Amino acid sequence: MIDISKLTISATHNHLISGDFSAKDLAEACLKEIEKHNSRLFAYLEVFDDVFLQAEESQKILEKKRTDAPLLAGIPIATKDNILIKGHIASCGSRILEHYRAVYDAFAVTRLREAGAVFLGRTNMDEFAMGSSTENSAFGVTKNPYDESRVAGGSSGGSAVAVAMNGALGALGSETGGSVRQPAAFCGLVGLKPTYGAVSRSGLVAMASSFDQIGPLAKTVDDVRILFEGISAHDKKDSTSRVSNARITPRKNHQEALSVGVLRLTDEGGLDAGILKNYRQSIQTIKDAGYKVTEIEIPLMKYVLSVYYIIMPAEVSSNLARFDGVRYGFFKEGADILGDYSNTRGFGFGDEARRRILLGTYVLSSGYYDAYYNKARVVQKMIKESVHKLFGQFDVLALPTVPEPAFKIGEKTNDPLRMYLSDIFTTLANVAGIPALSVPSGNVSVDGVFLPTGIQFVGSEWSEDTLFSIGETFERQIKKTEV
Amino acid sequence: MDFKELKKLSELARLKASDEELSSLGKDLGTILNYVSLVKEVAGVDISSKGEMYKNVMREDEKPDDPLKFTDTLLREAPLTEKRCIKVKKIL
Repeated sequence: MIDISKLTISATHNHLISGDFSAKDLAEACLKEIEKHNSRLFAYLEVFDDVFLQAEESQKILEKKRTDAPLLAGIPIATKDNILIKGHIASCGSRILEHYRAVYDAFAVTRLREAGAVFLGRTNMDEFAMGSSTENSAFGVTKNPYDESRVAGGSSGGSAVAVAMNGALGALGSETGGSVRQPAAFCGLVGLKPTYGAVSRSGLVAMASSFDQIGPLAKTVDDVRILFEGISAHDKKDSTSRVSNARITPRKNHQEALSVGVLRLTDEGGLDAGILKNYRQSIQTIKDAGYKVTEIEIPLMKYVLSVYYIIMPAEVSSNLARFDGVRYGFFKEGADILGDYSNTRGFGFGDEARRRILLGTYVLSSGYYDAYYNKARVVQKMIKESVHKLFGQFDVLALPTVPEPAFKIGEKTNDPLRMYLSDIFTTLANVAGIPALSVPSGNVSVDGVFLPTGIQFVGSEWSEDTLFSIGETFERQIKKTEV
Repeated sequence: MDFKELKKLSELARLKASDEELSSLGKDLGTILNYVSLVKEVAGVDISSKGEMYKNVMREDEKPDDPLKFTDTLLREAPLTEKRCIKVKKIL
């Protein structure tokens, strides 16, 4: 009997190499967990019918290459519903793409496929990755495994729960403004938002192209590192994918050399009291691990969310213009061609997509363009420069991942701005194009239930290795205190 | 946000929406715009600098695929087709 909850990717790899169990046994164990939990938690929209075939192919790689087999050979992975897998539906949690079948593999999928990973199925998400709770999916709400009356976070909520319920060893999600890190924090997982350009966007359905990045979620920092290294490479099909010689990262493994700037937060900041307490404990944990800690302000932090919620909908309104019922997707006929477009889009898109399309159309319209879009772009540049300066003083910045633990289902659905404020700490990394790693930092007790939360480590471009290093140290230190 | 303006935006965005929905969206968008207007506070900003400029990455249009290589696969996803073409209503 394989206990998925106890397995990391590298431990599983060793079991597979030693023949303790086969790739098929492992896939079967995941499928059993999915069968047990998915009808309640709704992490997967679909479990693929070719899982065992894939596992058999992976087994061949394992048997042929043995100790030289890639770390991901035979590892069962869940993928978010906006990442294309050839021949499979990729609906983006939207009615408009409900029956759309991908005609090619996303670059990240190709990489994982070549490494022999097994794709179990596609996971639920907020429609077109717009949301922080997975409540905006057209197909149902994903529930938090720690308290089923609460959200899993979003937009990659399905990917997070797929791993948290042991229905996969790792998952791919996508980040535009925190969509990997926030559900990771809500579900007790590690989640990475990579440096912009580290992972190809080819085959990731676009939301806001200047922010979008595919990012991994898993139980441990090491698992996330393995997945990240699996998908990160230059791809000529994505013009924003960065060439490989830019990927040289000075690996900083000596914690004495690492200085950490921790964001100063006060009781008056409107932050959840449990989260603040947990954050203070986390800072102590970082100190106990031997890092040099300094409390800091992040200049312009107060404007980050506004910049994000101007530029992102602008790009959304432009990217979602392609859904017109002509080449693919849902179609609803109108009186003339304009009627075809507006019916198709009017009936195909859900509430949040409509909101952001209109918001984006507004900030890009003449008369408002300078006041909103241009201003936000210039402030974004200022934020990038000021964050860059901070990295002259500190190797890593630390701040909470979320302002509160997982909230109740339905609590914010009628108040979009309150929902947007969930992204208050995560959007910095997206707006600045830098990597951020969310690591579980213990629990917050709410109504007698222990809900997980996380701390994020943010670094300069291409500092993923440094983030993994401090993330792993933090992970170890937390485990010590839990024992 | 002004109802008329919103109506025009929904037409520009090719998004059919009922008057009732537009009124409720108007309230939401008003609240959101009010919040994001925070950026207007940031002083010393030269709008003409336009933020960080992106540059287009171009390539030569060469070695095209065989004309019919992907046609059928792609057409399978199109809602309306006729004789290996995508069918749309008249444009003019």
